[in-house]
Amino acid sequence: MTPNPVETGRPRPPIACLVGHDVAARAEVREALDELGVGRRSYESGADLLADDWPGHLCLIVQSQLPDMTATELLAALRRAGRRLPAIVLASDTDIEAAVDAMRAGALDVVERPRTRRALLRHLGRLLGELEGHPPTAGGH
Amino acid sequence: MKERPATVFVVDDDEAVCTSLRLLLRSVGLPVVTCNSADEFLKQFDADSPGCIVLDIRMPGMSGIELQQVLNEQNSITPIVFITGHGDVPMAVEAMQAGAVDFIQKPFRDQDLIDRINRALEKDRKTRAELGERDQILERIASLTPREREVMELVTVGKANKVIAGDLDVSQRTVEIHRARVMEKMGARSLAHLVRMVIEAGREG
Repeated sequence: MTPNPVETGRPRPPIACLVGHDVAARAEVREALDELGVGRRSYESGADLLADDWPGHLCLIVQSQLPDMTATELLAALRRAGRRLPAIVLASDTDIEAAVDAMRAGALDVVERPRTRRALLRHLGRLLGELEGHPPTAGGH
Repeated sequence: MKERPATVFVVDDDEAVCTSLRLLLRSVGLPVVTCNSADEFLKQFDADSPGCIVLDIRMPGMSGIELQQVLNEQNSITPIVFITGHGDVPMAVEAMQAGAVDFIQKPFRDQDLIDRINRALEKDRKTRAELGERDQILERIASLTPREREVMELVTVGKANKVIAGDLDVSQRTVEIHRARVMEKMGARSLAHLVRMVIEAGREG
């Protein structure tokens, strides 16, 4: 196969970054991640995540309302910083506006709470499947 | 090319909604055409004319989502603002994933809808103006890596990421990453926009 910058990175264990302070939402996500054997790194707020770096991570799972900003604002900040990672936003099943805003900000999907488990398993399963044999590199280049 | 006025197309099977939106949009000076079905709309719609589409999700016959698919297949870049009486999150997400610029629930405040329509019209104006800048498009294409260019060519002939992954012998995720980078470097707002830029670039200078 032709060497390619995207495919020559070091393999890293898949880790999902969880952002948000809602305890129930965290528990739902944890359950899905445990089921798939995906590691996690948790962040209380958008600022906490922005202050960190995440080489080798699998995806972001962001609660739509964070203590310091909305998921949409966080995605916009990440984009400005040139940090790309598939983002799944958790929104209440009635909050269409938050869902639309998050999609406009480039989210991969918006998953309804509390029916999160199945959708998360589907997305993470797909992201993991695509990692096999083709580990991602950190960030852009 | 002659500058044509931007038109707001309203597609809703509910005549009362069509009438009230016609009055509302005219009152703010926006040219408006209303249609009671997707078929009626398709008969008079010209993808090369500037404007936007205010589209009801649920309609008898062809639904709003189905009409969106038809327009995507025609590489229409005209922005769509969905309106719906009984929307849910998955429906909104699906519409946005398919390229809608907005999604609003009835009942909405008049001003809210007007703001969103103006935003959609502004986006349409920008996209069309950029398509007229052939040099800029060529410059952007020149900034792509050979692999990105390869992915762009396959994407714009309508191949799915999965198929491209097979063609190039890379993972689907890799294709997605290249594809995202192509969209970003090209400044493409949608797949249809990218297709149009490629067509524009291929034209005899």
